[in-house]
Amino acid sequence: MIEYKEHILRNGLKLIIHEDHSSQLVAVNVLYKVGSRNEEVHKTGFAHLFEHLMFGGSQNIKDFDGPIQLAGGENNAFTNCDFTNFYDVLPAKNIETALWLESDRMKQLDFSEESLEIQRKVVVEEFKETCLNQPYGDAWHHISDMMYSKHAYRWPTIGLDISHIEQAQLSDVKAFFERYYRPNNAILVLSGNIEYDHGVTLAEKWFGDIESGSVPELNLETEPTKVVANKRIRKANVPAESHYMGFNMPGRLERGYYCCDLLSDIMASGRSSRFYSNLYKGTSYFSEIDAYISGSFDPGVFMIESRLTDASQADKAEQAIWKEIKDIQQNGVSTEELEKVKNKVESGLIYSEVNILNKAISLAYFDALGDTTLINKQSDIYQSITTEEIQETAQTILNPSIVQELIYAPNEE
Amino acid sequence: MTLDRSIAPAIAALDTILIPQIDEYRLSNGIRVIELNSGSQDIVKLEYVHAGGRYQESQKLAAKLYSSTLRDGTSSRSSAQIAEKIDYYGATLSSRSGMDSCSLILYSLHKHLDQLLPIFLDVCTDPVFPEEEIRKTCVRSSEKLKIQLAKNEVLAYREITSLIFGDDHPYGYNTYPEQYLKLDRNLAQEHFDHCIHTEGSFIIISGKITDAIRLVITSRLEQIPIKENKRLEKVFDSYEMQAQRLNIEGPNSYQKAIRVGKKLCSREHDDYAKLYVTNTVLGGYFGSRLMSSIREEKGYAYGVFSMLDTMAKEGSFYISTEVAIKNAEATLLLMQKEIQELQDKLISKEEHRMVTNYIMGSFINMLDGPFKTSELIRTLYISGLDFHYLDSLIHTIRDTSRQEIQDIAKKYLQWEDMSIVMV
Repeated sequence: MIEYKEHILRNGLKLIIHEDHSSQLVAVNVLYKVGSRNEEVHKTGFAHLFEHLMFGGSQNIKDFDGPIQLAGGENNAFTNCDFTNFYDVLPAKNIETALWLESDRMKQLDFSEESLEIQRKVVVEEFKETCLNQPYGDAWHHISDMMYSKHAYRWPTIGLDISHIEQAQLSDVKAFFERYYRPNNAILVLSGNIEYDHGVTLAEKWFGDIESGSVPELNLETEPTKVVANKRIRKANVPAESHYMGFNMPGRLERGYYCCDLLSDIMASGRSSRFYSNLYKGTSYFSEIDAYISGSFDPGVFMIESRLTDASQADKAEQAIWKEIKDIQQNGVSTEELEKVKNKVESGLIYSEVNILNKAISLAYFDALGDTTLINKQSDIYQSITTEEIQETAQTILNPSIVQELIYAPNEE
Repeated sequence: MTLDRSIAPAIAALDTILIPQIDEYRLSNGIRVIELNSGSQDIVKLEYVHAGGRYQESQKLAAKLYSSTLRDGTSSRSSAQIAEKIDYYGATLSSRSGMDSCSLILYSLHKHLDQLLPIFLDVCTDPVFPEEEIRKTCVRSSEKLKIQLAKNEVLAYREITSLIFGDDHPYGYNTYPEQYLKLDRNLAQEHFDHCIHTEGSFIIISGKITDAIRLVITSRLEQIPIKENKRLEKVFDSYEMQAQRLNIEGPNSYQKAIRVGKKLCSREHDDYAKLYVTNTVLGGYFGSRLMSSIREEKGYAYGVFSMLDTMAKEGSFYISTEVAIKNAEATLLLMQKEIQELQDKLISKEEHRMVTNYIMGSFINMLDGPFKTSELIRTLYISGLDFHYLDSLIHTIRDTSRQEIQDIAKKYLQWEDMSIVMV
């Protein structure tokens, strides 16, 4: 159970405070409700590039990192398809340094050609390091493209193409800031060694005078239901044949999301899971096998990913996976098996409450999703899922007639 | 009154750090227990540590084979039965091995600990290392290694560590996919017989520890019979690295992975704390000299870091980054220039204060919460140090002067002494 209190500033900034006085630290988390799903198809990778630019200095602070380090803190950020999240963790007595920094860059980021030029290069190197220079590094470029035809999830957060980042203009950057980086599109969470009243006073002091803006409404196209299966084979310089089987699944707020999460756990989480014991240990086809969900706000992806020990056995490997899926579809799962994954979810939730930063990010996440109270309802929702629902989920979601398959085949030497 | 944003909020000095209290005691069988009681969730972590890492093994890969097959079955429980129970109670049981130690780690909710401890005890005292499971594990490890070897940065790391420590030294040797296929269960058994449950073994209990929880744990662990440590501590020839440069054609051609490094010292060395500060200035944090120059000024790399990789007996220093091929030589020159600058000029008071505060803050972070702190405890204890060492380390770091940083850079970071690997 995570206790928290909320407050909304006049400019629309949402403030959430969680007190944990066992820590000497405080986490300051600022979430902006903008991710790659807000991008235009010919300007992808922008939300992520912007995350980098947020460290390029603001009106009164030339260098973001210096002051936070001087205050004994650390900071970082991440971007995904739904939101961009910035955080600072520092000794509680220096909390104002983080609030000064975060509020100044929300109030007025300092745009310059130099800063844009440098961060464009950094992001291009990041693109190369994570996507091009790694075996299977462009898997999510292909998967996103195969899984989505209309929805903005059809490009990955890093961007569809490196050229979109290379061509980013200062005017685009300014427009993006004015559109999305406004207090009424942000959530500020303070978690750790901080009193609620003091937190509100400080937030009002540093963020109160920032002007709100008009944030464009999110207009996303609904992804049509798939009607045909698809297979893409990519010859690449990879060390082993790899298979990705993607299935569309419900969004984060739907009950089906929880069913898919538990189903993927039954299949592949832990050493007693079906995949681990029947496929990874029970056959010699796989050097790795996993099932997981993408966890996005809008309808996401249920993925089965495997790496083969021997490409000539690919057909048998694939049949073995389908045999496991069909077993759940036809025979369902036992009450004990479901109870097991629920127990794991329960402890996972408790473990995640140890760390003040985790708690801060979770609070911001659920608020961005639309309902902060969900943070303390997760356990109950998972507990309420039945074995019938799991079987039905396996039947409807893991449908062989609409599976999207990506195969990496090693180049012949 | 309007807020003047051009004035930074005052920063409170971080000269004192609250170090959590630990308790140390011995069980009736002689095992040393280090207990860290903190946290508000009903969770406990149990880590049973042995002097059984690469440094203590009788043959290459013994420690790794032992730890990756430890949970594969006991006389009375199969691998699947163990996994089933652990998962059922929402716990995690992990086994790991490193350079100087190996350990078995259990995370459990209070309410399930009673059910889980018998399994924990069974796994650590009565493993059977079944031949069939071992064979499969080895095939999979071999396949996984092949995938790792397709990455430039992995190849670069392997080369620099073997240049630094020597290819036969436990800290420096590299393994190859075909080696895994020749291993058998006797190697794991032998490692168990000689390195596990010996006088050097110890247990770290962390999390929320009530009297009842303590009693449940200690009464179980007291049943473990402790062996005399029969293995003679091996002494490895002191290997002197000859600085050299290796250019390797890597599997990926978009970027070059660069590693620049040399051998340094262990934590016990008088200069360790000062090296810690000097390394941080150079490349140990986001605002470091290397990061500012190579990432923020030139945009050559997504990240560039230098680190002290410190083991129980020795340590190393290396710089690592991945850059576009055309910028590789220029990046090397920048690294050399930044080191030279540290040797030639005193760092400014401002930068000195920033680095010191950053390090103090990072220690507060490392000590935040029982589980992070337990990691630190393990690192210190396997190096033969104790928790008091932390006090003196923090004090020496805080008091390291600007002159000392320059002296240390001159004494230890001569560019000519560094080996360079580019893949």
